[in-house]
Amino acid sequence: MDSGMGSIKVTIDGKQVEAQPGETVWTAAKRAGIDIPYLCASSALKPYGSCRLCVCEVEGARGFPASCTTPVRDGMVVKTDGEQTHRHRKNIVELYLSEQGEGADQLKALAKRFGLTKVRYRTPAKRKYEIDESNPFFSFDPNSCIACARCVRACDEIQGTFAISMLGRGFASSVVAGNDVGFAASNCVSCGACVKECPTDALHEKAVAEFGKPEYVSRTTCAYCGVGCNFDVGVSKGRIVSMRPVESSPVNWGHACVKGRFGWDYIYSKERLRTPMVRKGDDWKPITWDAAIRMIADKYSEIRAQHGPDALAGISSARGTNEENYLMSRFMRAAVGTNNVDNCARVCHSATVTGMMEVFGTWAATNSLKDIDQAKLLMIIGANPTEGHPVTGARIKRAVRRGAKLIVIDPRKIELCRYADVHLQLKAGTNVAVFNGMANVILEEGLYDAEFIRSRAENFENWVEAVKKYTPEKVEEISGVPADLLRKAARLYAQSGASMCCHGLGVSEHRWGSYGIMTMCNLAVLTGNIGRPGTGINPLRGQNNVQGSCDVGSVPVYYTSYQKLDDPKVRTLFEEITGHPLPQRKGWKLPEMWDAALEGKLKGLWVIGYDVAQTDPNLNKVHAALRKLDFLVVHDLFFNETAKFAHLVLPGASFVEKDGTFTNGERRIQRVRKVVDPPPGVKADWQAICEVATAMGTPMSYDHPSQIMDEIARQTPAMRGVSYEKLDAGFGLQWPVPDMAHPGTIVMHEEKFPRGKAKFAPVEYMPPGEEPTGDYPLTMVTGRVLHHYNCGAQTRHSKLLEFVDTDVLEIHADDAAELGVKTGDRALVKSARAEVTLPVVISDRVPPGTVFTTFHFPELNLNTLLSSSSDDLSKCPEYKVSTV
Amino acid sequence: MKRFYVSNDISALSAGADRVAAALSKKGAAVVRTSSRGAFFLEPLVEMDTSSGRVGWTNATEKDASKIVSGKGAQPVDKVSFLAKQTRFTFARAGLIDPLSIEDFKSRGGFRGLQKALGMDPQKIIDEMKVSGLRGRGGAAFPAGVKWQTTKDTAADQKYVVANADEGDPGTYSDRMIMEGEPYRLIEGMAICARAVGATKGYIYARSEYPHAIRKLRAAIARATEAGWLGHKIQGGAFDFELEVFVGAGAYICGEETALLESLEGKRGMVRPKPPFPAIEGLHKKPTVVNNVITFASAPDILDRGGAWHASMGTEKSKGTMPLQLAGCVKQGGLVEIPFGVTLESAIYDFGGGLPKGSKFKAVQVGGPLGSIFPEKLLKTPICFDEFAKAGGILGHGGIVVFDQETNMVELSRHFMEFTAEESCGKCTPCRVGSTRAREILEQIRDGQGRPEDLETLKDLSDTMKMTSLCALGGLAPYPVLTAMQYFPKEFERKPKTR
Amino acid sequence: MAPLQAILEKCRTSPPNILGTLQAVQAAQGYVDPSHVPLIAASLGVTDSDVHGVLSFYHDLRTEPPGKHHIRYCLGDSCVAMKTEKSLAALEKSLKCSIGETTKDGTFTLDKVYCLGNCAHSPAMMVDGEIHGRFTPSTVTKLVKAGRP
Ligand SMILES: Nc1nc2c(c(=O)[nH]1)N[C@H]1C(S)=C(S)[C@@H](COP(=O)(O)OP(=O)(O)OC[C@H]3O[C@@H](n4cnc5c(=O)[nH]c(N)nc54)[C@H](O)[C@@H]3O)O[C@H]1N2
Ligand SMILES: Nc1nc2c(c(=O)[nH]1)N[C@H]1C(S)=C(S)[C@@H](COP(=O)(O)OP(=O)(O)OC[C@H]3O[C@@H](n4cnc5c(=O)[nH]c(N)nc54)[C@H](O)[C@@H]3O)O[C@H]1N2
Ligand SMILES: Cc1cc2nc3c(=O)[nH]c(=O)nc-3n(C[C@H](O)[C@H](O)[C@H](O)COP(=O)(O)O)c2cc1C
Ligand code: SF4
Ligand code: SF4
Ligand code: SF4
Ligand code: SF4
Ligand code: SF4
Ligand code: FES
Ligand code: FES
Ligand SMILES: [Mo]
Repeated sequence: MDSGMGSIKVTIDGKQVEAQPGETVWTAAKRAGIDIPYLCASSALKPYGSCRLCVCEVEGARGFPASCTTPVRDGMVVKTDGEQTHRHRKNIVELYLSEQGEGADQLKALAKRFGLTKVRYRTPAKRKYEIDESNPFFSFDPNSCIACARCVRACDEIQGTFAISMLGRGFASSVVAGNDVGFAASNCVSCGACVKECPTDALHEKAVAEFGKPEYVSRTTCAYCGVGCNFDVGVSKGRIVSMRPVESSPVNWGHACVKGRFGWDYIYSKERLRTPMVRKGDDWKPITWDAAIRMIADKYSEIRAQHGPDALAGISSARGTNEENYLMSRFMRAAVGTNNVDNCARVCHSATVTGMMEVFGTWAATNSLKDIDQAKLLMIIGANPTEGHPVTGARIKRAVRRGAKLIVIDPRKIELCRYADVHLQLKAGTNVAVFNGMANVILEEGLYDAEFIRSRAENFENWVEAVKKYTPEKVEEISGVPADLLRKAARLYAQSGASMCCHGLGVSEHRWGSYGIMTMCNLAVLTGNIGRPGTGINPLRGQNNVQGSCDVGSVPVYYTSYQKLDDPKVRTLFEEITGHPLPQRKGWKLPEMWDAALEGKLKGLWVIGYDVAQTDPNLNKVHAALRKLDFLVVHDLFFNETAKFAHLVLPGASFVEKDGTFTNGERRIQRVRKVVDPPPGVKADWQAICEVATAMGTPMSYDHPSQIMDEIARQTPAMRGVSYEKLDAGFGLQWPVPDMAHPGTIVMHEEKFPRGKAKFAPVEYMPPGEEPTGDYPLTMVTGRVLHHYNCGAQTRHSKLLEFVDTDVLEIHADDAAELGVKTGDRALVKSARAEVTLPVVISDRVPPGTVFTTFHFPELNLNTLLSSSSDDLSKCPEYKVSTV
Repeated sequence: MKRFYVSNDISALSAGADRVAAALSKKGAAVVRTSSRGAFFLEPLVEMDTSSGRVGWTNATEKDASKIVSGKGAQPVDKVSFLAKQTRFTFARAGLIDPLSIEDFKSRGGFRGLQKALGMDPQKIIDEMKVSGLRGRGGAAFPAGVKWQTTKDTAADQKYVVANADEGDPGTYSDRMIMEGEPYRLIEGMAICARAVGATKGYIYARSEYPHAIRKLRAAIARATEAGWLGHKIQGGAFDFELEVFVGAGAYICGEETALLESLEGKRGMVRPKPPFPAIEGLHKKPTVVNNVITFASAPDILDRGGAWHASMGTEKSKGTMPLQLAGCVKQGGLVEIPFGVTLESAIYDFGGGLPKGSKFKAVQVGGPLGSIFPEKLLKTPICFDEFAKAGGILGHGGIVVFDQETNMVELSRHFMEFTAEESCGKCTPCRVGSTRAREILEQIRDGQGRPEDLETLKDLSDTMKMTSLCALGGLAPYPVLTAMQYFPKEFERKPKTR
Repeated sequence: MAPLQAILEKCRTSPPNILGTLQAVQAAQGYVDPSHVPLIAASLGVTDSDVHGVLSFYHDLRTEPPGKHHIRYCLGDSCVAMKTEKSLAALEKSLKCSIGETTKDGTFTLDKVYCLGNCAHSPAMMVDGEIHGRFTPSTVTKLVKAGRP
């Protein structure tokens, strides 16, 4: 195992145990399989020493020290099961039971273990507290609490939210949430870390209380965001009752966020689609799967016959598995004969791909989540991880507590700003200027890595010329970032020794998004902060499988892992596998599809798991395009907004109801496992695609998704060494995995970049698509909140709705005063395209001149406000800037 | 003109020193307020200089003002046997100086130790401390030099020196006397330590129950800073040391050093597990020396007169002197600084003058509320760390509280357990729940509801508290109860009252 | 500026000190109004629960307005040895208020402490910062009320 192992030898209960310096007797014993009873210790938390059940005897030491706080010493002799030890443990359990009414099950089990049959205390004072049921997902019963503070420590040390504290002192110590307001009203983010740590069920999951303790668990990957947390799904009587994060996972290290941990209850929503349905005027009529499949095959064949294959398109779901995405692309390319296939990555991080391609020749995070633990400085740009990627957010906060420096670049005061050394509060849409300005300072002050530039980069001189004019003062004019702060940030970034960038949509979703990415990458090359642990450029990828859906070819202009469509090798292999030629005309990107539909060139569309009618920008246009289609199939878990335009609706299976793989934001391909059967009448999405292809005369059939993965591996150089067998053996694989013997890649570009040398990209700052005017004086930034997810189809069908039940307009007090609105008012928000009404919340998270809102609630139709403006190169929409 | 000295120590005030001082002033006399000799049973004690030393009027009242101003009826203070028999160095200046006068302090040897230390190699300072054999006076009796060495040897960008001025043990007041009576001594000792270990910032964590001491400390820090004994470039050298007073908020447990540090950081005063020890990871995770007030107050003389001088006093393993504090049912309550080795009996009878009229000795508790109860037969125990340990007791901070024949040992035991239950930080189970359970049992026994098996339970529980508690509050709390049960078994066997 | 804001302004240290801040608030306002916890927390950049946890830990910190005069009555070991509970009973009876309470008319708050360091003159108490010792059941009330109507 680890290299440090074996440097210390201790004897525990006569057994020789090898231990690492600094660890405790308890962890050493645990590893050696010695069962020391405990309640308050946890391998996820720092030593604390509350319960005293783990006491032991140490030769030469007085008394009975707690093994969980006693560090190992070489030659130490420990006895954990002495008679006196046993008596003390029994007495302690008796004390616990004496203060509780019924007595927690765990305590009763310990009583049994120690042979405690009767509590000797007569009429002892008991704990008397009200139960807190306020949180929709878990309850807190202080009467079963043993005041061990594991919950408090979990909230502090793991989640970093500090929502709860121990209350009072002595006998009556308990736990308090917020200012004694109950969990729901406190700043608790319901991550569940405290619930997981609680050793007595004082904190317990409501679903488990209602439906029973898990009979068995099955491991899978979260299907919300791109962090890709690993969970053990607990099942009782055929029903999922819990999802608990996996301790040993390198992705989430035993942690989770509210959506993954608790927000899976939508799978039991009554409103799930359960059968295919066909439109009859304004009504919907259930039909059989066979009829539905026949209908798609017939319609698609018909349109193809009349208008050619390019009149058809498929939108595949970045929420679905790699296998499903691959099949959709194979279906469109082989069965239909067109490259018109795209997915939600288009509206998300496509600019990241384009930008990173230009500088490095790559299309994914260069490093891994684990690198956050190694970085000496983290620069978080246009990302709000404590809401969008909460487990990564918690990891970043943990890194800061460990001593890493933090720079936040965001127009808003996001939660991370509280812990930041520098917050550059730029005007939305001015990333290019800020990055060029930082480069300017680094060059000016000679803080760059000359050796790295010489050996690993090109185009340096040209680029130096280009950034010369971006003096901090000039950048201050453009972006509003004080020159001194910019200098400070540049110095910190250049000099930390290991600076890691994590960025989000605040960089990509802009008119000049790809350029923003390039200028950020320039910084990494300039300072040599790439190709090493704790460095790199790391997009926090959005949906659970946006990375994968692109990797496996659900994109109109490339084949798997961004291979060119005209590459002869690719074409030969494709033909060999599918029996059909690879179409050569580049397909339409998503926004281009809407133009094509409006022009009457696109006639038929199959949309899987993507609510374009709610989440794409400039909705009025999208709706018009959808209306023009001759045939629209919507394939989803719920009857979403897009379904309202459909001719045929198919029910999809959720992630716990099918096998497959997702690829997370650190390129880790992970297994998704079928835990329960889908609701009757629902079949796995991949099966439906196969059946349609077969019905169209291009048979596709697989016994199991593993075979699909084998087929992907054959055609995808970066995934050649991937198989289910290997994925199942650990926590998936991080591509590139060039061959079967390869263990996967944690840090990319250690020696060279895919394009050889990194290329400095000289880019000028250009203003965003819209700038404030007299009529539209405010800049509107859109983004997300913790408790809801994108179109909200899933999270609005979950108890998550109890936390947040509407989008709101966050506005600075100054602007609010000027406009005469206050918190609680409903404001009419107008853009050049449309107007919507939003509830107002005055907030100091936004600077004057900027408003912020989210897009999770369809009835508000927020995205009608947005324009079709998008990134020049990638067509990534400019969600982050519009004026209102 | 004659000058009269009247103490402004709170125990003197409690006896009416302010009124006496005012009466003297009214008669036109010049009155200087000083620290107290510590012979509190003599307060208000008015002193006056003569060519043959100080003379004084004991237990003075306003009515004595005329007599005093006339200079009649005084007796030599040095001849008071309570004082004459003591060996004072930590309290050598007690009663002699104006607490806030740097001049007074310096004229009697103040700042000589620090002056020397400023010119010494830090390691030499620590060596001197080690030679002195000084052990911590806060209770745990850990060698001070060794602790200082650890902090010195731990590399860090910031180190701290913290004086434990929480003096939580009821029945003790020696720290208070230093803080009120000679704050510069504490400042000097802390500065010596800071210089030795490489600290630049210090805190005095003082309990809120001592408002007078806090005021004086703050004033003294301001004056010492002004005079160049604290702050930037002390005495023109390269050594910086800033000092601040932090006030506690009513928590006995914050006398425990790790809880104290948590509290000083502004948090809940919860005990931290050790290791890491504060000397390595203390305040804000930085190396921190935490010492008791008296420990620091001993350092100036050690530096001034040499470690060997200090080591020549006391016993083999308990070097130096111990400031004992006589309290409770004694005739002559007050501070007694004597070399280790004097017997408990001598302390109570030779110094304390025995019990007041009408009271008969029943028991004595040494070392605060967690200290064992000793009956008459243990009075021959010599006062030093090891002999006390052998006798099943602790010396703690040197508090000696005498109880008379009227004391109900069951009720007293209940009182001790109630104290623990109320002051328990609540971190560990044996103390958090155990102290309440023990209190309940004792309550039942006191109320005549006890059963023989309850005593067994109590003993069993006490053993678990002793053996498994995280800190010494839970770990020592059973001692007074167990010793009371051991030496006064009959009182615990009372049968249920039949009425 | 509101007085609370002015106090909080002065307490903004890095790192924040919650206890010190609560003490400052109490010194100025007599107690810490629990409804101010969120303001205090926000000012310090810590969470409500952190502040609440500290507020609930220390005996000195009060969450209700105190009486005009503050009695800190010692129940330490030395004072117990000197039968202080008898004087306490007399005092409680004459004030019609027990330890931890404030008299109905708001004149006195009676708190207990463990030792005032006046053990050589036990029993001891402190009234508005003024120390008293060696009182008896018959003198204790007079001492407390002297000059305090
Ligand atoms: N709870 C939750 N989590 C999610 C999602 C969800 O809907 N809900 N969606 C998932 C998806 S699909 C994605 S793509 C990710 C997105 O996650 P993030 O990338 O974090 O996306 P956003 O929250 O949309 O925006 C991030 C930040 O960009 C800032 N920003 C706006 N304009 C600019 C600018 O010009 N410059 C800079 N530097 N910053 C700017 C915004 O103020 C905002 O704080 O989250 C995923 N995770
Ligand atoms: N104003 C504004 N708009 C935005 C953004 C913004 O920042 N601001 N961000 C944009 C970004 S980054 C993104 S990624 C998009 C996301 O927008 P969408 O992709 O539309 O939203 P999602 O909620 O992720 O999922 C879409 C649908 O997938 C379904 N689904 C989930 N799992 C499955 C499955 O296994 N099978 C099937 N068949 N269906 C499934 C859900 O029920 C849901 O209806 O929104 C974009 N829109
Ligand atoms: C419950 C408890 C209370 C304590 N109270 C005090 C105290 O009031 N004053 C003090 O100096 N030490 C006190 N201590 C001892 C300190 O933890 C620590 O040992 C001491 O401050 C170290 O200084 P020293 O080595 O100079 O004695 C207490 C310990 C415990 C366990
Ligand atoms: S659920 Fe998470 S945020 Fe809420 S109290 Fe528990 S650990 Fe803290
Ligand atoms: S709620 Fe659970 S974890 Fe928290 S203190 Fe109580 S028993 Fe421990
Ligand atoms: S952080 Fe993302 S992947 Fe992890 S549990 Fe939350 S939503 Fe799921
Ligand atoms: S023994 Fe008592 S005071 Fe000490 S840590 Fe345990 S609970 Fe806290
Ligand atoms: S004077 Fe000292 S011993 Fe006496 S009661 Fe007060 S604190 Fe206790
Ligand atoms: S497990 Fe060690 S004290 Fe609780
Ligand atoms: S015990 Fe009461 S004053 Fe010390
Ligand atoms: Mo996204």
